[in-house]
Amino acid sequence: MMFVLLSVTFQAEAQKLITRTATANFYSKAKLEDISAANKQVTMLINTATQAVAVKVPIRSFEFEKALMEEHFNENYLESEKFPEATFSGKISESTPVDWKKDGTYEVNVEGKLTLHGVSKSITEKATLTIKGETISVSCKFQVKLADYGIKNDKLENIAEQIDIQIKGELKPL
Amino acid sequence: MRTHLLLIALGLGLLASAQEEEDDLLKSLDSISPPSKEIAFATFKGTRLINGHTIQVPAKGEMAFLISHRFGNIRDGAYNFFGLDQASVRLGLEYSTIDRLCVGIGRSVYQKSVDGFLKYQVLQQSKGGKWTMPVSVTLLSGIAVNGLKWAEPNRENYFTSRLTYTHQILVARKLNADLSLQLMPTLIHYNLVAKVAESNDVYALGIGGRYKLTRRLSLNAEVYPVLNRAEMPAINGLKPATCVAVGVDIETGGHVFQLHVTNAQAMIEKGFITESTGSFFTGNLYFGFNVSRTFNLH
Repeated sequence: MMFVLLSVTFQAEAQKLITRTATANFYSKAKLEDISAANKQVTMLINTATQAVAVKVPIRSFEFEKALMEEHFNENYLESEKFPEATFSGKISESTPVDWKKDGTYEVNVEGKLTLHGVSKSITEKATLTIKGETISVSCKFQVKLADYGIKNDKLENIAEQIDIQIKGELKPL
Repeated sequence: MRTHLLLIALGLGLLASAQEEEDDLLKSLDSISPPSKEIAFATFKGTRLINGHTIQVPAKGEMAFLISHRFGNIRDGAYNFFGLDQASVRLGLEYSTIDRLCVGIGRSVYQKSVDGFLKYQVLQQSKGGKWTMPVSVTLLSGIAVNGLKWAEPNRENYFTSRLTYTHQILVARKLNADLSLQLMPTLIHYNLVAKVAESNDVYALGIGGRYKLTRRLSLNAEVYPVLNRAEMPAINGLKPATCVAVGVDIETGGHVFQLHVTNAQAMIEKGFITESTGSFFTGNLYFGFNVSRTFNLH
């Protein structure tokens, strides 16, 4: 019994894929100006044995076109001193199984908990996995409604109520 | 029975481990990518706290246009609309060509002065990097040219007599998202003073801070006590008063509005630190505002 458990954990350990340089982009389309920012320091982890997925986005690493936008983003909206990172932890839905050993492109559903601005919500989003040998490319586009995560918006500034987010990464075995 | 219990226990254990795993996964992400270096941002909302400079410089490639007003003395009463009939203005431009290095010029109604300064942010408060930097430090060196006509034109006058220099070491710490404090050791050097007993050098130790009341509004205060009061140059035969100022910052997009009351009408260091004539606490107050607009030149 113990041997079985041990070997399972051992296997699981060997089936983690990670990246430290995934990207997160966001776009806000509003009347007065379009705002976008890019973050190149996103870490992502997939455990192929358990289908588990984890993502960590350091808020301070979003880069904006203008320094003032970056300051407002960190100070007034995401309050990054109080909430320095956004995280996602969840798993690939059983309804969209993936054959990790077979090259190809898989459309999957990812379900789990998104924590942003200190607020956690259960989400299910579509993602695309492309397996090529030992590398897995992940791409996921989704929308976040600011009000859902207690991010205050006001009429003084022109930020969309709904933000488009795109996350991309190339994961390799740990 | 025993086997049932064992199965239940095993089942519970598996459930628990499934939930734990997601958290463990996030934890293992923390060990893979430890928090990177974070530089403190927006220690203050502008390059001025009220009268004096903050450690902030405009971001690289940005130019700030500053319009600063101080109205007349509130004690002038209703006849002068509590000072609002009269206004003293300083117009200024500040520009950072290189990261952290700012060049500024200004023109004041006060003594028809032209001032210029260099401001360099030497240290930035940070955490999470190789080492922690507890404070931000900015050095400031400025010069002010008194543009008034010579008081005694028949005497031999030198241009250098019009000059006053300011040197400051600005040390600030953002203690948390709301509270920032700053120390401003200052040296003001007059090329010319009226009497032998008066020192050309005036030393002051400014203290200031801001406290955020809401996300767009902060309360600011600063005071510039002079350390060698006994020998500082007199104004109209009287020792100048200590500069005290209280105000608010209101932020709206690309603008920062600063509204305040202070006992200084000048908006250059040598003016407000060493030439304020009336005491704040006896009601020699000037209502004033600073407006800054930032332009991106890139």
